[in-house]
Amino acid sequence: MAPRIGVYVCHCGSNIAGKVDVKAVAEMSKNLPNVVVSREYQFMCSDPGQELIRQDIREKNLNAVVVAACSPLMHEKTFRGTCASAGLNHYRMQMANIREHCSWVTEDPVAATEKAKAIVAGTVGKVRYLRPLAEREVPVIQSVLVVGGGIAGIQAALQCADAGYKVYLVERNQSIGGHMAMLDKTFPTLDCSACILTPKMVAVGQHPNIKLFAYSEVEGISGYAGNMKAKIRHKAAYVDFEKCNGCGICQEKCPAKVPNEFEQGRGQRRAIYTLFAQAVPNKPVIDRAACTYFKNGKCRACEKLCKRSAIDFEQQDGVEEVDVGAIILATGHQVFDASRMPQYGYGKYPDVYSSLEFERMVNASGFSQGKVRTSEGKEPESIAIIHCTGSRDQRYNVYCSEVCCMYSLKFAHLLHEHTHARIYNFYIDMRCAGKGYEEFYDRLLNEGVRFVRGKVAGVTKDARDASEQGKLIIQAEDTLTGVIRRIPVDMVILANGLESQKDSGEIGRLFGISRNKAGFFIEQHPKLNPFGTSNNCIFIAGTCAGPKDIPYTVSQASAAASGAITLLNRKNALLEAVGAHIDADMCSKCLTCVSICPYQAISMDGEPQTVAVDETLCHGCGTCAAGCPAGAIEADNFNDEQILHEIEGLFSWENLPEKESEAELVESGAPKK
Amino acid sequence: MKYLYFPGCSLEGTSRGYEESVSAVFSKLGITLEELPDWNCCGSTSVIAVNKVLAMVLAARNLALAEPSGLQLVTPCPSCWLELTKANNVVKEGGKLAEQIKEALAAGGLTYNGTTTVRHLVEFLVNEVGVDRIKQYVSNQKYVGNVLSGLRIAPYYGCQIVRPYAEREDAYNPQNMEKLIEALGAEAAPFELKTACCSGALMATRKNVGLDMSRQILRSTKEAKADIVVSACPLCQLNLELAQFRNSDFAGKNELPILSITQMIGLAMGIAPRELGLSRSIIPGVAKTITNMQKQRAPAAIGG
Amino acid sequence: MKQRVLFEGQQDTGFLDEIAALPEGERVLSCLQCGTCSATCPVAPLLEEPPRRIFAMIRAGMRKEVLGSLTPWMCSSCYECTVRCPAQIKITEIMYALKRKAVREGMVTHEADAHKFYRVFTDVVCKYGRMNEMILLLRYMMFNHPVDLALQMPVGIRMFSIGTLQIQPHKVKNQDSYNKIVQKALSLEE
Repeated sequence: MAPRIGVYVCHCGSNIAGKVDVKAVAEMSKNLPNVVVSREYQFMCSDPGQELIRQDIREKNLNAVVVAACSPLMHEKTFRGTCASAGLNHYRMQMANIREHCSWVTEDPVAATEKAKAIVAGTVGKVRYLRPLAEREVPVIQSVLVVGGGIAGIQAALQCADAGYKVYLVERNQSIGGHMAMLDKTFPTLDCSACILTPKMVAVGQHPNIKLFAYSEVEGISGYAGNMKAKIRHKAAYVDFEKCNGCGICQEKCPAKVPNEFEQGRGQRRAIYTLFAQAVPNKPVIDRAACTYFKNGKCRACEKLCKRSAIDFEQQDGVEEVDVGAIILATGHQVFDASRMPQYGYGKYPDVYSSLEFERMVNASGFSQGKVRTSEGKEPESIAIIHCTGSRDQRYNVYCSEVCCMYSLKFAHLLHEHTHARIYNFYIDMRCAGKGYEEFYDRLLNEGVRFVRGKVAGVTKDARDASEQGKLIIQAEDTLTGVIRRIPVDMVILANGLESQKDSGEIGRLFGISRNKAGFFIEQHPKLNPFGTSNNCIFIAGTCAGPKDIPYTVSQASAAASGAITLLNRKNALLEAVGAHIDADMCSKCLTCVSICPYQAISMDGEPQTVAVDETLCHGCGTCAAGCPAGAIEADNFNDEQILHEIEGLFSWENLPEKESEAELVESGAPKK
Repeated sequence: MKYLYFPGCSLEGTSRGYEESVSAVFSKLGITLEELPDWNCCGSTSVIAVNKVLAMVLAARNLALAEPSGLQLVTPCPSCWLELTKANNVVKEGGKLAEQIKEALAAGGLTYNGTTTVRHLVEFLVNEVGVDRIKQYVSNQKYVGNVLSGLRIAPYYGCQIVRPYAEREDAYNPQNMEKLIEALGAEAAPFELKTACCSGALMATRKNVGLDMSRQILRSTKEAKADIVVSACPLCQLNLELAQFRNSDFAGKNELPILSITQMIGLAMGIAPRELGLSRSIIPGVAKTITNMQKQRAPAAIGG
Repeated sequence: MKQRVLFEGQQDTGFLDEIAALPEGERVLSCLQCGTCSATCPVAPLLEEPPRRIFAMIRAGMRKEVLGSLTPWMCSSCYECTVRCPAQIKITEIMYALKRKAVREGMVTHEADAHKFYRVFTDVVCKYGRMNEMILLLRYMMFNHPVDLALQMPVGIRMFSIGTLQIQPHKVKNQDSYNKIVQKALSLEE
């Protein structure tokens, strides 16, 4: 059947028409081979605009459509839908980008119009050879994998589980809770962090739809959209979680003591230990490196004392595979290591504390039982809180970590409650943008905290005045008064910034998710889809996507859950119709395509061995087609015939002979009814 | 191994003692430091305050003179090291200033392609010569005034040896001098202000400010109970001496000897104080002060 | 009473761009005004305009006040500010640039005479190829701190007696080549 093409040139208001002479483009298009109708209109994507196309398809028996307008990223879906609704295969529609590729980037209107004409002529040349394609539907597995058991992972898991879906929650520590479990109070409400978190943790532990893999990590992911297999490694805890009832006697009696990571190294724990009192699951694990038995074959006290015989020194790692339809990454963050800023004395002076160390100190269940004391056990008379430690800094993290100003204010408040000390906050800007945040700042101002607007240059013990002897001296410029200040304090608390986890690169590679320069996962769209990724079955939530406070984390987690639920709820997913096809006769089995395919969709097998593309995994990116040295691979919509005719079209727009045929140029206006 | 040596102008004048000690120590180590023939002033922090191209060209001329030999260029003065390194970086990175430097050098028949390596003496002693080699020469002779064990020596780095570039060193807590002190059998006395500024040229242009800044450093070394201060920089050494010269707190019996790095090493190696230029200090009787300290601190070590 | 209003018409609104256009000024637009430079500067407590304020004034276009400030002349090139600046601005190098600019535009404050010290230094180096401290100090002190010069006599005498006062300037041997290089460099300076 001969091609019958309709060309629609959009004004896009003045976006295109302000630079390109759209009437001239439509005029030229009329004369292109196989074009039977050519129109220009204000907004093709509007209802009347789309109706123009539908009507022409029906009345003029169009079998191919070119819409010369914006980028396909904007409206390809729209116009495909338009064509499909009029009965034309939606892959017989191609957009010609004369906005982002033309009117928006060309200075001279004459040059812009010529370029637009060339683009349209090229697209018309190609569209004649587009093949009708159809998406395949595959069923979506009705379960969700949530990676990471902090507040983000917990929220996402509960949301999906409450919606009726099966959730696998994988957490690498032996308990869920994440960083939020370490905090004392949360800003600005001053809710006790554990008090608001633990009910959710318990809900996760008890939810019939959630299978919790604690002390586990995801080792591998395979599969395709909506049909993924996750390999989960349950690390050897040397404790049988099924038998253990969490009585705690093993921990009490274990003789080996080592620094407690949960207390940031300032307190101690045993070799067999639970992470904290409200742990979920409330089961201990044995730290091989600290355990007397593993180190020199003696002790085994825990085994002797355990009434449930839950200790198992022979335990091996376990590996389990689960099938899931969607994945939510909630792998969290790490805190900036302030020993990278030696001028603040962290690690050199014992009374310089990181933010998490202070959270644990002021927490009633922490290493200091909630008492604020210097390393010598004294009550501090003056305390400095240093904002922006490691953030807003070209040498460390250039970004602002969003939460530090607020938690520094929180620290000031807690210190005001727990001590009689003079409290100083040293800041560059006071960032209090959330709900109730500015009010919290005002509260602190009225609690008598001394605010100095000046980034601390250094913490020193070099005393220049009698009042400075034996103290830690803060050197800062009080930029608001313009005076250099030296403030002697007994204790320094740093507001460490938030960073991506040091293994975020490995996690990204495992799931195929890109990271930005700072190592945070990249969202599908920073404004309109901050919880999706380039993979439409994988979502992100919480600080693994960037620093944020708890309300934003919880919101993002629920958004990610809703994304997963939406995917699962449709029961079927559409696989990309565009794919790559290998001509076996031309294939020399060099396997170049196998190694360059970003989706690992190509493999060689069968008898006799053939190299073939797995349609379900193929995304139609065309990398293999470009890389094949023999030219044996064809990518849909980008085969040789289509591209060569597009190139021909690009050069054909000048001096077209006037057509006498039925081709009509229709002036802009509403469609005839 | 042979190296080229860039003394810098100070070592010919006020820091003549430093120069003598460099000569004596390297002679004993058996390492040849050949003075870069016809070297010129690097410009230090003064020429760049007047004329940027000239400053870089002056430094680059030395790099150009050193380049044909392929030998490394070692300098005892941190300011010279910094200016030579700055010029080196400019030429290596290319750009307008690099072209201007090349043009100026060409006017005098010189070319520079950016291949000279510049080392400063402290880092050179630790990484190229090595503390082990220096240790081999440390003498246990019962020669009064030559043995440093029992003495607390404060390592004063100053500014330009760690900022803006810290070559194989930590800018906030450098350790190269501590390594040398300990290798010689003495006790390092690190103090809070070990990388603080002595005031540099301000001692000349704003004397009171300079004296104040240098005195802070002396105070800090005293707090660390230092017997001797060792300096990496000729101007720092002079400034710390001047701060004592004009301050009665330090005059007389309590004067704090300020040694250059090679004067300290030379003493431990058993080289006579005269050969190390100790008498070139504006503080009189440095050698005697050290001997007295030695008598008090470690009489057993010096057998008397 | 004197009015302290900054009228935009009286400022040099292009001053910031001028500094930013210098090679040293590459990152000056990123200044957060955090104050780290002032806080770590050893002479800041003595200054009316510590380093941070100088940059604030540059941004406001206060050319006269910046080039007429004592601050650049008090800089001892310790580089603490440069190393600690979170925006990685080359502060010390900019101070050098301000020194050069102030002299070129004839705006050096009468409170400073360091520019004369640098001038003598440069002249001596251009002439001889090496610095001679005695000539430098004599020429600088004689005109700027004559009383102090007299007071320094004990130090001078001491130095003479220990042989560290160089009377004869050392010269670079290859004078011809050296002079050509110096002249060319001077001609290339903007």
